[in-house]
Amino acid sequence: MNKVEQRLPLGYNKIDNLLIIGGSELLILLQMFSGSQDESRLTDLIMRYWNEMVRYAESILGNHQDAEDAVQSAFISIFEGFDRYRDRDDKALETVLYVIVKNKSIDIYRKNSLRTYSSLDDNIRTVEFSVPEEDSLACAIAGLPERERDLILLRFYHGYSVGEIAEMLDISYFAAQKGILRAKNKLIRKMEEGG
Amino acid sequence: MMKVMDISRACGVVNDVMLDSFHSSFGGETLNRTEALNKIKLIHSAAHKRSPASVYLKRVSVVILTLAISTGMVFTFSEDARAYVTNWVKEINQNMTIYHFYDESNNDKVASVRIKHMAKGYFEKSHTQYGSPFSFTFENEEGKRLSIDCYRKDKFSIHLERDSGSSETIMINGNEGEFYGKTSEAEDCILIWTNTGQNLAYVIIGDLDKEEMIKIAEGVYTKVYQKEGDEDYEG
Repeated sequence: MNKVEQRLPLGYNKIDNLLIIGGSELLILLQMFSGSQDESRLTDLIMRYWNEMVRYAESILGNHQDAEDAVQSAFISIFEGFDRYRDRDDKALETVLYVIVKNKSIDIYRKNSLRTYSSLDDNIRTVEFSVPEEDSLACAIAGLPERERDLILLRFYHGYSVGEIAEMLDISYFAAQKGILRAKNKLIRKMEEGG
Repeated sequence: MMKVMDISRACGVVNDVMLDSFHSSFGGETLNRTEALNKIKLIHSAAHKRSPASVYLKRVSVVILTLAISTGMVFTFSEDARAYVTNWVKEINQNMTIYHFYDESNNDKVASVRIKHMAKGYFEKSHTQYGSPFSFTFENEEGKRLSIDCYRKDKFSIHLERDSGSSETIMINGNEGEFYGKTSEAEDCILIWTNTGQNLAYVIIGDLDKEEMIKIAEGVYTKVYQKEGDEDYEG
């Protein structure tokens, strides 16, 4: 373990302009991206969404520390895959972040409780919402199980490829593909039953 | 027959309503910029711990050092010529100098670091070990920063947005290094050197004169070990 054997006097001076960055850790992170716009955008994302996502993760996990870990893990995924998100607007990123945070929270939940995913489905707190009843297709989509709804939104609304979705959700390509097909078939059946 | 366009439209409705509801349920106070940047540091630390030869290092085989100017960030370059300098291969582009180090194939592990000299008025702000053997940041009361970074030669090359012609060769404890002075008020000075026999390269960035930077560099002592029982030696 590194240690500083000769400590200089410690002091703290509040720095207002934190764009003046020292130390290699941020520099290594920042240079992953194509320019200052990425860095600025990512900082903004964290500023805007960190607390909200932690609150959401905490609603799933019931534990603040685990929630922070889940959100941290989600942002690592976003950072690492930023090439695919760079040209997306903030609304698109919101959905992605929400889905990834949920996924990471589920992972932690499963590790902690050793429950199966299907039992978790019953216990996970979803975001309650309702869509206009006259929009039968939107109702059908909203009524899909959480995971399948996410797949449909990412694929057909946000336009991510199957491979990208698989990476986002940390599942295999075939699991993503199968999930999307299954969800789409369910929608078709629901619409046909609805007339 | 359900068309993709229909699904896309309906998905849009669901997406918007879902996010609105999400924000109502979980929205609230946001982080300030300071807090956000601290989170970024934690994220990077966690990512590095998760996978030492991580995506960060795999994807990017270079470190681009940003100069400590008020808006200083990452930059691009086009290749022009190469020059050979002891201990490294220097690639010179229009406004960029890139230091590629020899593959020393040593695997020096930094056991401890001593910084024996620091400029007057500077105090330690932080020291970390993210993605490079070590990194120190010092600061003075005016908010001026000085960073001392150490990198593994086999893992990094160093890019400087500086014209190589503006550097001068200097010696640090018998090792050759290069010093870049300020070319404008907004810039910092840069001192880069390696230690022969160690797989480590060092960079100091700060707003100090050459003599002071050299004195600081000469006071950086790194203990490394390669295996237990090896005699420690200092950089």
